Amino acid sequence: MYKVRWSLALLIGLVAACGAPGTAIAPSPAPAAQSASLSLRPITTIAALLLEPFELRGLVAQPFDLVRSESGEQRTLQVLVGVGGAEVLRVESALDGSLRLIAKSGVALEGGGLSESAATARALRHLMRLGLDMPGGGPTVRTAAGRTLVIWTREVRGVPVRNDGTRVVLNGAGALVGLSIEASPLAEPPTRLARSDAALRVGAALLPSGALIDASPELAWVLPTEGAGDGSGQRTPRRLAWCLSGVLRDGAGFELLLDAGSLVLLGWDGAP
Amino acid sequence: MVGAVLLAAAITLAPPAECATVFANRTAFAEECTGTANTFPDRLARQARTALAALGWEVGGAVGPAFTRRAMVAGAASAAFYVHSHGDLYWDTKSDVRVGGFRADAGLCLGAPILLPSEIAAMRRGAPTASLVYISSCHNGERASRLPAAFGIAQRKAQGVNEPDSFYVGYVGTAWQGVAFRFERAFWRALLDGATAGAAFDRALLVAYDPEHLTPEWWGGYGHLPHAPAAGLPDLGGRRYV
Repeated sequence: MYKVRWSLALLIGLVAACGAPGTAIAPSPAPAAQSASLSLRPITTIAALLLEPFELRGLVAQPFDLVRSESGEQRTLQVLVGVGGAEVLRVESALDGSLRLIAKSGVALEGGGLSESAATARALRHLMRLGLDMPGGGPTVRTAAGRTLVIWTREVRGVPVRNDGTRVVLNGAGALVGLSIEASPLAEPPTRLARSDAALRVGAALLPSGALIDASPELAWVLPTEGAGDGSGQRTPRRLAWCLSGVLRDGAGFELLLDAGSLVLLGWDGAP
Repeated sequence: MVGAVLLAAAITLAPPAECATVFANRTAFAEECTGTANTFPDRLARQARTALAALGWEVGGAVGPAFTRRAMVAGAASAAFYVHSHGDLYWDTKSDVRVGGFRADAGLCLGAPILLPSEIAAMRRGAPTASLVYISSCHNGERASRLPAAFGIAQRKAQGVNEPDSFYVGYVGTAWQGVAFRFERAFWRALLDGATAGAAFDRALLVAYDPEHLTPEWWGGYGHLPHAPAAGLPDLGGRRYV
């Protein structure tokens, strides 16, 4: 079976390379794209690992492109389309060739559901099959709309980097819907860390009347200005912050993010 | 009496099938009401408007105090509908059950009018099933919410066979605004890439958002392409995504 898949991958690769000049396999004239293509994992080899042989029939690689990801990172985009131009597989890689995102379209809406341990095992199996690094530590497992999300949050010196790490999305039968790997740049940590009680005092002074901090401050690497700024195209380095959570006077939850050194407000979020 | 007035207004003001409506409650989240400056309602509404316009819809609606019950009467029958506001499983005295719904802005910090599913259904009487409904609020992605039905959308997921030409997105439990912003941005972006609504939702699940603070849910047709009927597909350079 493995040999068959590799043969099919090779065949698709050849067809794509011959039939569609400027595909994912062919280099683009843009210099950045050209250098990226040197270390790029062809989408056809990824497709051969993820799709059944009958699913590979008729697939064509689109010309690869440079895009900016949701997290603001510049990436190479490869897309495999099927009959009628329908997208079947999307792969995004960092410019150094590291795999960042795989998204399969139209994955079956299987019922059932997976236990946390089964979902974790399935997610690890998908990562291993793709030759990706095994994330450390225990993942968080959540379900949403019939899909299961297995999330390993990246940690740096024991401190979580919010929204960074490896995320694997599965359907109810454990098939891969997609995966993403985020590794944001980090700012220099403060030379001197403010104490958590000082963070509590500063946070309390920033709160509107009737609001209350109801949990101990926690350290995390966060994206600044997430609450008030634009928040888009953010390749802004994550900053080390004290995170304070609580409730507003109407009972809505909130979180304040204070720079871990200067205790300046970096951002906030809340629930409507 | 109120129902008759609403129905008459809905018939008079019903927008054409090419119209989308975007509402956002700004006042309830504003500094004078919460003590904290908050730009999320405007930003959420802006990205929804931009995406819906790019999908070919004529976009109307209101952000801030102009988002009233009356404005809702005019916009509820749109074929594409987006709202960001406070939402809950509000009590419907007519049916004596909790049914979902959301608040208008009306310039009020507290006690703004609640739009219940039964009222929206009355406002939409005679209108075809909505193409895309995005309720960006707490709780209206829960089974108990009757908002999908108010827009003519059954609470089931269909893929491949007998798919309805409609798609509903809501959130289960409490939805944090910053996290919703990230998820919605990814959803709209995927739609503009030409993904079907279901594939766009799947792709948004891959975005790095905190699942502790957001649980999205959908119902409708996975393969539905929610562009305006007359607009056709966006120019995808020959590609179409499923």
